[in-house]
Amino acid sequence: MTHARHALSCREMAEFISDYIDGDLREDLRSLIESHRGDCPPCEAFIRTLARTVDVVRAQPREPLPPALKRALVQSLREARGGTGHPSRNA
Amino acid sequence: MAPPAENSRQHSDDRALAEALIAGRAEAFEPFVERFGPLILGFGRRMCGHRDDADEVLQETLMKAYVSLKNLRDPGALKTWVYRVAANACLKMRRRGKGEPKRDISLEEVLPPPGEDGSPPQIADWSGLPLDRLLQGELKTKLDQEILSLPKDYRIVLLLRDQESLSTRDTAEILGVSETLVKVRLHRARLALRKALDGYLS
Repeated sequence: MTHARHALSCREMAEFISDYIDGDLREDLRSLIESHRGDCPPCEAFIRTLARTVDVVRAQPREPLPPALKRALVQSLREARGGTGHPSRNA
Repeated sequence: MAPPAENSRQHSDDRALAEALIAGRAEAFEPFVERFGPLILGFGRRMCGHRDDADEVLQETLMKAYVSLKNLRDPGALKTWVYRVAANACLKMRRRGKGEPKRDISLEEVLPPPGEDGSPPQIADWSGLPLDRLLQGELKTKLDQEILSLPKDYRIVLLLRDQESLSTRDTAEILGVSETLVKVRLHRARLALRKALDGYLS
């Protein structure tokens, strides 16, 4: 990504895309990216596919906790409370 | 990312849960395990890559987070507290850490190379593919492998920010690094994953 026919080159823009996707970019930079992507199909595709990558990571299904493991964890915490592990007893 | 109202409700629920645990109320153990068990199991699984390691990380995390709760100044920050313990447990996990040298990801290795004459690269737009297609079968396996092959300093930032939906500030606090470093690592980890998906889908 090296062509630089915009106020922000493709390479320069590439540094800011995550902040742009996260809505965490200064207004002036955000405007520059908006104007760049409208004129540059490769960067438009790049931004869209990076945003989709983030969607995929966020949408990964969460495994349920196996019931036996849950019971064991609750039991361990009970035992810690009965011993010296109680947080307020150490305070 | 959860909407602000949901975050606020969760923060308030976490505060009540932390206060019940600190007060020594045994009935709080089950909600504590139900709230954080699946989260830390998923985080540990992707961070360590081994089911046994993830189980170990989960057990160590809930126990250490509980017995050290007296040091938690803001009970509403229970989630950050638990993830800090989990992150430490993952980073010191021996099996995965062995033979995994520290490595940085440069922008150049994860950005598309320019065309031969310096023209813009051709980039396929696969962003319209439905999420359920991107999350199944061979592609899902590929994604899991790519996440696991990221350097661990990058992998942990990606998981805390994008999988666990923690803020940049909380992630920086959990890992004891600057917010700028969190942003740099997150961006490069995302770019590395995009490149891997692109290689598969283009």
